[in-house]
Order: sequence, then structure tokens, then C-alpha cells
Amino acid sequence: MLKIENLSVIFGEKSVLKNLTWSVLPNKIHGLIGLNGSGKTTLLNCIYGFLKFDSGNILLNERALNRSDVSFLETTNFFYSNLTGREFLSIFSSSNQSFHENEWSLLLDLPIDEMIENYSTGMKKKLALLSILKLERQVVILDEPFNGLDIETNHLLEKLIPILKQKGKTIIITSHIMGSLNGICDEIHWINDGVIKKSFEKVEFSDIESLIFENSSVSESLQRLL
Amino acid sequence: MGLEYLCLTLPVLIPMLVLGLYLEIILFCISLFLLPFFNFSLNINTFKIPNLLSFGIDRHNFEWIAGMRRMQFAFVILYSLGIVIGFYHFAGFITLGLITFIFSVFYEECESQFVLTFEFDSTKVFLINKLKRHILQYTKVSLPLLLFYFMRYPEKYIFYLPLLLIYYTNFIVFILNKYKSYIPNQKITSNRIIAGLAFMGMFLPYLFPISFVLCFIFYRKSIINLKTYFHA
Repeated sequence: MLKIENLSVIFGEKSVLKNLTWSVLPNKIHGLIGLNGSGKTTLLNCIYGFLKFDSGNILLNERALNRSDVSFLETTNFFYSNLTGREFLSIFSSSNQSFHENEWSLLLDLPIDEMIENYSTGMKKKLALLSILKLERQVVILDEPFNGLDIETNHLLEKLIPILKQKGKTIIITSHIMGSLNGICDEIHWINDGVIKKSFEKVEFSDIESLIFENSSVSESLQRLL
Repeated sequence: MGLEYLCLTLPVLIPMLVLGLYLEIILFCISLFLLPFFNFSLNINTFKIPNLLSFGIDRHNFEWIAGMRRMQFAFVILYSLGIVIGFYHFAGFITLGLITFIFSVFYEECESQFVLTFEFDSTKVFLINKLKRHILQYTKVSLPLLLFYFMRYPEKYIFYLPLLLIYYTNFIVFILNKYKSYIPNQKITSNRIIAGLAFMGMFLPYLFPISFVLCFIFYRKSIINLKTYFHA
């Protein structure tokens, strides 16, 4: 189990994560939602180790989480220039013998022997996804994985994530589109003002939007402006 | 830009002035001022260049795979030149030094933070492994040329060994310069200036120690800079 205890991150004067405590159960797909500036990306960056936290602990199965336990699909993907997709994938050494680049590239319709510079946004996302699949780590973080994907790959990703769950991975997904999370997540966690405000079970998913926007006056403002 | 080139080449120009090579100085200065008007960059998107020299490159050394794709023609020309000159004169060994400067171009681009950190948890372990892998790669590539010169001119080893030490040091400096200035996903331009200084160090004995000093300074600075990203 991934356990986050009293995690705090302060940027200058601003406290972004405030003693955040969160238990992420294994073999489940966890959605993470929150409005802009709620601390979502900061939390993910802390879990992977991109960011140093000011206080708290992140534990995996009662020991300190290492970077080598986590694979992270970032929202925007950067690739080293003058490499082909296959050459990029070869950077990631893996003990995963069942990973076959050719079969994956066929399935995802990805020209892995072409230069990455010529890839579309969706293709780049697919390549980044393949790299984290190749690493085969215990905790998989997918930050906005559906951004820029075509309908077919979107569908494929929705099929792929539950298979990762079956293989015992702990999966954390963020998305701005509630619909894409509702379909695949076992739990959705709402982060607000630097803390996990509430965790929702599958049966409660329909209440999420109304709860998040309960105090929102957007409709009235829109009525007034239009 | 021309003026900057002129300042950088002062250690070459001053001895030329002392030797009274006035015509050469004028031609040299004109070429320096014309240099910025030429665009030497190649738009890789418009070409699909096969990486003919990718065999034998360790898959972790992505800088070499990408760099060889860009610079393979210059590399082959210089390498061949090194062999051809080697049949006539021992000083052809200098071409290995020039080839080393081609490799400096490999370290102008910074990888993403995920690629930087996915394999190792500690800054020192990362940097030592990086240097080991790349020095091994450099040795593999330069070995045929080295053996050729050592076999053809065995009596000149006194001349070759210090040069070889400088080439290796220059190569390490290029790698360390990348990591001392590392910012994820950015290009580093300072490598060209460092390469220029190291280049002059090859020909001017009083500039020899530059690379050695830079090696120590840059290693320390790389560790400090990378700690921002590794937190260890």
C-alpha cells in the first residue's frame, strides 16, 4: 500500500500541500481530481520524486518509496531530438521480458522507426506510455493520460489500465474530464486546498461534480453576463 | 558575433602577429566576421537520415545515437582523414582531437527530468555511471585510430600519450558542462565556448591545463546542480 503521511510543500510564502495524508490501496485504480492550483501536480511530483517535500513521509509497503518504484507519464512529454521511437524506448532498461516493442507499435499504430520529431501529439503520448509500460514498476502515475489521444487509443487506454490493475499495480490517474475517470476508476479522490478533502467509492461517483461545485456561482454569473 | 570570435581567437592571433603573418591575420579576421552569416544547422525534419554508425553504441548513450545521426558525415570524413594522413605523418594523430570536438555537439541538449532520474536515485552514482558509459563509448570509437597510430609510429608514444590525456579530459569536460548547466528539456550553448577554449588548449601549450582545471570545477558544479533534480 502507498501511504502518504502529513505531506507538506511550501513554495515561498504559499503552502501548497498542507499535512496531506492519503492511503492508496494496491490493485485499485485511483482517480485524482481537483481544481487548478489545488495541489494535484505538486502531489504527483512529490510521489515520483521530482519535488522535494518540506515534511512528511511517503511509504510503499511500510518502507520509504524509491523513485525506482514509480513510473510517471507526464502531462506534456519531451523527447530528445534526433532519435527514433525505438531508440527512445531502448533507453529504458527493463527486466520485463514480455514487453515486445514491435507488437505494441502495431497495436498502437505507432511508427517506432520514424524520427520522433515527425510524430503527432497523440503519437508522442503513445510513445511515452510505452516507455512507462516497459519499465513495469509497482506504482504507475498517469497525469492527464487522455490528453491528445485519438478515439481508438483512448479506447485502448481504457482497456489497458484495468489490465495493469489486474497485474497488481497501484495506479493513480488525473484527468480534467470526469467521464473518462468515472468509467475506469475504483476510487476517486478530491484534492482541495492542499489536502485530500474526500474519497469517493464507485457508487458515489455521480455526486462528485455537484459536491465540488456546490458553492460555485458560475451559473448565476453566466446568466448575468450573457 | 564576429567580434566575440575575434576575442576568443586572440591567443592564436597574437602569436601570428609576433611572427609577422599579416596577410594570414587579415584573411583569418575576414573569415571570422563572415562566419556568423553561414547557417551550418541541418533541419532533421526534412531529412530521414539513417544512422549508419549506430551499431556498437550502447543503447543508454542516447546522446551518441542522436549525435552520430547528426554528425556522421563529418565524423567519417575526419576519421578517414586521420587514417590517410597517418600513412604519411605521425601528426595526423591530431585528427582524433578534432573528432573529440565533434562529440562536444552531442552534449548540447538536456534530456527530460524523467529520463535523467529514472535509473539512479543518487546524483553521484548517476554522474559516475554516465561518465563510465560515455568514456567507454569514446574509447570504443577511437580505439582503431589509436591502435593504428601506436603501431605505425611506436616511437612517438611520448608525443601521443599526453595528447590522448588531453583528448579524454576535453571529452569529460563536455559531458560535465552539460550537467553543470542542466535544465530539463533545454539546449546548452555554453558547450561551444568550452569546446573553443579546449580546442586552443590543444595547440597552445600554455592553455593545456585549462581542461584539467575545468574537469574538477565542473564535476563539483554538476553535483550541486543535479542535486536540485535528484534531491540526493
